[in-house]
Amino acid sequence: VVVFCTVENDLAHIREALDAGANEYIMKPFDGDIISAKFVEAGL
Amino acid sequence: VTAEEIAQIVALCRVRAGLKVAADKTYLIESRLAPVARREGYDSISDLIAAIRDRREEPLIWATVEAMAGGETSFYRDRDPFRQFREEIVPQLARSRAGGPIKVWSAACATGQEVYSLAIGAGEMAESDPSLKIEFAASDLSRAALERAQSGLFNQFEVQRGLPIRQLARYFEKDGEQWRIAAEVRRRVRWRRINLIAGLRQIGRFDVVFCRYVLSHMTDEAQRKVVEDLTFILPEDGVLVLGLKEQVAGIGEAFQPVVGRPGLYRPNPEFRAAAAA
Repeated sequence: VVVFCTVENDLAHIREALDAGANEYIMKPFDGDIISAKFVEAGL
Repeated sequence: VTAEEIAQIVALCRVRAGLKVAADKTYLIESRLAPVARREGYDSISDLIAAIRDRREEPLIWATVEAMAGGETSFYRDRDPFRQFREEIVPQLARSRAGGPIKVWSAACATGQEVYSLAIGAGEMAESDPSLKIEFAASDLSRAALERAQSGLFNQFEVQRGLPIRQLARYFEKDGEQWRIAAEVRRRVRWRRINLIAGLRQIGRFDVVFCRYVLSHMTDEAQRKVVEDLTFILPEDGVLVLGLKEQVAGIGEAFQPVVGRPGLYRPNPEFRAAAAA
């Protein structure tokens, strides 16, 4: 499972990450609840 | 804010919208009404309440009540109801409707995340079955929430709460610092301001009603009225979706729970017949 945590928040970077195999993608500023939910979404 | 002023707000919300506002939650009342007071040009919440009392102006009253009604929402909140909508509710209804449209109402849509989550799913279902027709209506008491919902604009925090990243990449475009949902999704939804306690029996028929986490914020009397009205707009095979653990007055008589599906209910035909008599 691959989760990107990054400051990059534009569609081009998101699509590039998805094409590279990302299961989820979390953008700054990070929030604990969102990180937990995204990990569940990604199957972790 | 004095106890007397709080009591006025509590009564106003109960009478106008059936809202149950706890008088001891002073912080909540103040945090919701401070922006209204500022926007309407009052120096304090007390001045706002005095103006409501003295002038009885409808726009000011509704701005206040609507601010108190605001609730929390997110994309795919609770997950299961959205999966059940796609995998169970829509396929069952599609078989019995034989090509006719399936009508879905998000009854307290707030800023739109619920109905957009459903509309995205409907679009994806229609890709594999082009004969499938699903129509969405969305309503809220709050004009401000409806305006935001219709704009389709969400901030970065909102699009990361519940929305899978693949759907963000496919259905959203960046608009400054915000994200705007695609026109193809927005076009699937009709919007309307509806006060749930104002009577629902004439608003039309719906096959599925999402009414989650709103009735539990209303008085028991208002809950019973809305629940009774909902039995008149749903057909016998229609589905009412409440919050997962939501306790609602009158639900046990007017609706029958769908076994093994928390929050899902079908109308009780005997109740409707008795209520209509």
